[in-house]
Amino acid sequence: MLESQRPRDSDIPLRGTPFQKTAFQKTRNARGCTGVSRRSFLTDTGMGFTGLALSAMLSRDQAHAQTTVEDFPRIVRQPRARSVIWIFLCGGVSHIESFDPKPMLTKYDGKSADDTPYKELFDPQRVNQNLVGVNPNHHPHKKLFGMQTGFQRHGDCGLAVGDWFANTGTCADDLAVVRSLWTIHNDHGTQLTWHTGRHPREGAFPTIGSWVAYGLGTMNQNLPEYVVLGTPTGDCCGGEWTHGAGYLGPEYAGVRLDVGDKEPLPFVSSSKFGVSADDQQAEFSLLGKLNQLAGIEYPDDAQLRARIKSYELAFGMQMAVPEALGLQQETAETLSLYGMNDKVTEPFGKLCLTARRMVERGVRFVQIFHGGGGGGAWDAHGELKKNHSSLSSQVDVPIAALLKDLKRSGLLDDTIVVWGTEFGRTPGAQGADGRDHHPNAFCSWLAGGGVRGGTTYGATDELGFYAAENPRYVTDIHATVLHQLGLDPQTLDLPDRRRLDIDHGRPITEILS
Amino acid sequence: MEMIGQFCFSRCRKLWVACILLLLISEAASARPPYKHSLKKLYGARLNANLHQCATCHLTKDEVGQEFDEENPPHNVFGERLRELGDAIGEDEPGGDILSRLRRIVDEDADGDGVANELEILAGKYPGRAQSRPDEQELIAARAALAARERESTGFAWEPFQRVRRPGVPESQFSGWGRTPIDAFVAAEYDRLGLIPTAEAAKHNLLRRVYLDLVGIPPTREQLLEFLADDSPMAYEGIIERLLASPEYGQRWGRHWMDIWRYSDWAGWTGGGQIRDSQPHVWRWRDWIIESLNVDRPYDAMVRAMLAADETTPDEADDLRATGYLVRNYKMLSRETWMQDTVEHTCKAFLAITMNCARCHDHMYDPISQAEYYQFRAIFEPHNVRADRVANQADVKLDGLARAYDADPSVATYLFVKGDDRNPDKDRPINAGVPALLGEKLLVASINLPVSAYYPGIQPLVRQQLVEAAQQSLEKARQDFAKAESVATDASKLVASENAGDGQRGIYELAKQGLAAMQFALNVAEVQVKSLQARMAADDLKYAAKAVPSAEYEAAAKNAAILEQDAALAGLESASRQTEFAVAEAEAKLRTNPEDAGLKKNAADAKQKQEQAAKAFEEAKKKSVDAPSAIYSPLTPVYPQQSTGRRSALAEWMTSRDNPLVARVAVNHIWNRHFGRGLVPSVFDFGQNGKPPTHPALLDWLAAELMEPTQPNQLSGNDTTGHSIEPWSMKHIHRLIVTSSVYRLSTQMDAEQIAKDPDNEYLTRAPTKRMEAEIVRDSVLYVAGNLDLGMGGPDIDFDLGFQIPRRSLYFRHAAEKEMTFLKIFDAAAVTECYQRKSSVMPQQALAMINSELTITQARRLVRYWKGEPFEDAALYSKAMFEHILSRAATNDEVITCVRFLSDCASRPAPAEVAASQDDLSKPSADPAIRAREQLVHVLMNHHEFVSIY
Repeated sequence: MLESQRPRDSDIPLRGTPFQKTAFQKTRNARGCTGVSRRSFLTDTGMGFTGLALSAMLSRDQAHAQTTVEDFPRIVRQPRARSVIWIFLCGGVSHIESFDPKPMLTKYDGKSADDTPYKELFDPQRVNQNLVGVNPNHHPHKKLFGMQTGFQRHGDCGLAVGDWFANTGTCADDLAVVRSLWTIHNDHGTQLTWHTGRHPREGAFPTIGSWVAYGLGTMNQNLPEYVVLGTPTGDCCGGEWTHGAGYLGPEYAGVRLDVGDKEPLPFVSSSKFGVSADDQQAEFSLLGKLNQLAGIEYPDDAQLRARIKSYELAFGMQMAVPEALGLQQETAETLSLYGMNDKVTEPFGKLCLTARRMVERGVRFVQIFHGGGGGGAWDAHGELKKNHSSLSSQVDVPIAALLKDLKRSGLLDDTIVVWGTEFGRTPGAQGADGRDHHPNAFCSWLAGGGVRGGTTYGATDELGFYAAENPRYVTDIHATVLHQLGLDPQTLDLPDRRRLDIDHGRPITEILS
Repeated sequence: MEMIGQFCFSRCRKLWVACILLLLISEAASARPPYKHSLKKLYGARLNANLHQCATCHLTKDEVGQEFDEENPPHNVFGERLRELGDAIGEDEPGGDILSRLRRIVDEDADGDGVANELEILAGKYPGRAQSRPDEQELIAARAALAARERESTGFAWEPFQRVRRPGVPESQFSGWGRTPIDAFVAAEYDRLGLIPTAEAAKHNLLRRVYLDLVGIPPTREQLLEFLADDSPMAYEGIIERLLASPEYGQRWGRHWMDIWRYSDWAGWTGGGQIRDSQPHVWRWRDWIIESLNVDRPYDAMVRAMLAADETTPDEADDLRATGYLVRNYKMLSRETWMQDTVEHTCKAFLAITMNCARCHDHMYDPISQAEYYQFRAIFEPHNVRADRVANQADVKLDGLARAYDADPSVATYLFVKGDDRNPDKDRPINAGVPALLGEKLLVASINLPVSAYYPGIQPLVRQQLVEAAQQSLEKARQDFAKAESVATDASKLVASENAGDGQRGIYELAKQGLAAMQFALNVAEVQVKSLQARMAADDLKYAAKAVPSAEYEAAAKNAAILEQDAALAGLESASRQTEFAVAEAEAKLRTNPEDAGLKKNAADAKQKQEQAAKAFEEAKKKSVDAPSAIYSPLTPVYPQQSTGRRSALAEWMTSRDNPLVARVAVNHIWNRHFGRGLVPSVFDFGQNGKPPTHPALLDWLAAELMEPTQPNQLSGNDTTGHSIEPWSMKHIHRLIVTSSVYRLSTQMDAEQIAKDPDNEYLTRAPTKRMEAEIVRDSVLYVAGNLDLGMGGPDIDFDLGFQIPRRSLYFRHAAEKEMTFLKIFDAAAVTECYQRKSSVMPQQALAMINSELTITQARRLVRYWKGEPFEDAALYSKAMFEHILSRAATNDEVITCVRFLSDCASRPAPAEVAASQDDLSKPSADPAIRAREQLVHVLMNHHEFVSIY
């Protein structure tokens, strides 16, 4: 009664045996009316660690084996997607130089807005009308600042994309760009807002990733359903909350995996304390036997069963996590596609490739951070050209590679990729060559998982100042993702924790196929 | 209408959302979800979904036709009757709330169709529509439902907002079973529902349960064996008495109350000087909590101290620690959030009302108005935080007493329109007050503080520190001068020698200049000592008891002002001289290498500084002549002499015998932490939106017993009067609970009986619990013989949890600063933790099987075992079961362990083994010991180690 059990502890089949009811399911079902006999406890939970088929656990490509909706009780409609890759660029990417080019700015480059037809856009009241707790250090600047890069039209759809993202542009026909987003605050705390929908000063709330984990449960018993890659947001801007779970509880929080040389997960190995694999196997085995013997005394104990299960999962994770991170198993062609042979693209390429491997293994939500720490790397208050051109060269090739790789393996059909940032950047120049924070308009794109490629939705005005057409708040992106996963963003909640309308958001059905 | 209901609920949340909502959805009618909610409240699962909507009380569009006003739909006859009653009684008067009104008209027949309202409702028919009428079959079912409902009703009204009255202790057929009045109340429910409690827990389970519950560490093997062998009737009671008297009790329950009172160490960066949440040194509050619990300080006294020790005992530094409760809410980024948190959590923790819901509009479920929210806020409006000096550390950044005080008694509170802090209603300043719902009024009288409270500079401690610092400066100046003197003497000898040239003369000149500069510095230090003494002398006269303006004070103040100015001038002069010396030095260096650009720049810079310093001195000097200072500066900041008295008034109101909630909420928290579920399950919400209690009479009896104890302490033996127990004693409540029969029940029960009380709401068995995070870590260290049970002290770096074996509650716990191991085991959420979670996750398994903590402590336990050596594998296994799991092993378990030990010992040695016994980072080189290390490690991972049966 006291212990909450994560869905992965429940009756979802182990990978590789999707339709075979597990021992746990039988015991659970049997419980309630008659309980479980002492004998049946022993036999039903008798899988033990020695019984785990490691080869099955480590085999690839089976996570997406067919599972039925009944396995996942919170799914309310036929899902169009099973997993999410959520790319977040910290610091505020300029919408103007990425996916919402504004040639009009170039026309008026260097002019004060007062001398253009756009003077009234800068009315402070209008600027701040949707903002809460405005930081006066950041504001629109009146001297207009022309686009700092060229742009091309890409694909059959003719999507205009800034040249710094030309590689992503080659996937234009798979992208649905939302150009009319706005957010609630004008400082980097909105990195948290992007993930929870809440104003940063409200603190921790469930993130989109935790809702997905809570709503769907796992497809792979040996990996967390919510994985975090890269350096997350800095302490100033949400810190751990941007991949936390708020009141949903830590079992739904993102699990950070380090793809570098460090331990990929806390306590994933004890080898540095001289514990050999054989010794550990023996310990797990003894533990399994002793816990089963305890089941004779406590035959109806759900917590005991959950504990036994959690040790089985832990045992699996010890191997599955390093295996999933084993990029050396990839072909040279794939590594090269992700830019792994180039020092500039390699770090982010590693994250994107790992994300694909995670999704392939059934992880539900992979959150990739770029430029995390402090206010965020993309925060180009000065030297925007230098900043954005350099940072985009780190991510553009890997992101395009991820989309292409997912597509060629068919994974893009049931994986949604979301590209986002906390806000846009001002059409006006900050100092000589930078742009300030711009919460009034920014853009994002989605791809895969039933998203209609080659679409743009919403629009900003000619300067990219306001979300002029179909303005959308950040949680509408959440709602769109949840909708495609077969969840109902309106009813997904926890008993006793009612959510605001703004938390729920509304799916952007116009970009769905 | 369902959408509208949700929308209105949204409005009761954070203010900033309002503006977005306005964008998203146009303003809608103010439907009143509490009305719908009330039906649900009365009938629970029996309420037909049809009736859980607006049409139950309102006419529909179909019924009204074109003129239908969606924003304000008219009532049907049933709704109209409710409204009339509301008008007659007054909605805010006792009995006027919607639930009471509903109860009053259940037997009426609003629509005149011949069936009473309640029967219609239970049949799923509209009580306000004559054409909606149950048929015979439906009527029979409805009557049965009504009878069942009446059976379920306990007959004891749950009126949390009415003064606590002690209910009589019921009689029950389980009278022989029960030991305390608690049992009588629980047994009455068994009788009513036909439940049978399970058997009493096995002795070993009970012992481990009560140890972990009261002190947070398991019994040792010796304690277990002793207890199992002790057949005396009061053996268990004796242990309880010992545990409650041990300091570990305060540590264990301190952590519980720290959860409820939202303990947080500082968050932010001390290096960067940004303290974002709470304050450094707030750990003194943690220590105060623990000490208070250990001396069984009455709960009401604790509440008073936490809210207002700065007003009630402003001179008592020890008590002032308690105001850490307020300090903890400090928020650098937003005073607004700071105030909101203070109001919200003071109301949730002590009163279990969700006052926060009334910030933007009147409360949707409880009769609390928006104005009352701001009245409550006004109590806290003037307060702020500060750090006072403590002994042995003059720098409050390094150590200090973090405390609350009224910084601005005159600051006004305004109602924020729609909760928007940008939109205060300045026409109506709000006075401090408490919700009328809870009775009585706030009696505020401002408080004149003693001098030492508003002017720390008068405290002997602070003076001593200042004098010592001045003396130290003087001593240092003397030493510097002596050094310069000896340098000058040496240089003079050089010049005196026959070979003296320009170089030597230059050195001598420089040394003379250096000596002169030191003379000035020495002078400064001397004047500063005098100045300090003069200021203290003037302070003595100024702040003397019954001080009146006197010539003597005037003279002393003038003297202090002059000396202070002299000291300042001397300081500037000395600084000027020091820069002259620096110029001379730099020029001398430049002469050795005239073309060096760096030296040139240094000389020029020095010259510039010298000119600035000289100018500053000259200006100050001129000013001192033109306008000599007439006032001296205080030794420390001077704070307001008066405190508003609002918080002490609040504390008085809260802890009055008439306050309906504080005692109920307190005993509910205690119950919750013993049983894992409160008698009112929503421990922070006793209002309409919370969950009603399973045992309302028991809760009220316990609340009365907390305030006015009647039960003698049967454990102390010699006391038969029962009068020695102090009111508000928490140990008294613990004793009553843990000695009760219901507490001693087994966790196990027949499946058939479980089915009758599946969620154990009626306490037919004991709950199986999982250790809280801190207890997991503490217990691992404890069974290894390594836990440091030391009390108190500054927060320890949270990254050192595996290196420092202190109890877990002493490690830093704040936003972004949490020990990973604890976090994985659901440590208290820093922002709010009225209820601990106890999840089961694979990350916990990884933490137990792979962490340095369990691995090294298992090795320590084996290698440093002080009990019998147990050469025999079976005896050793049994002993380890007793030591780690506090129970005897079964034969099967012993056999399994013995086989494991022999298998392990015969496996090849691992690649690396420990070089010495002390090297815990590697397994033992001895195969037999290594095997035991593994066995012990497995037992620490055993389900029963982290579980409490």
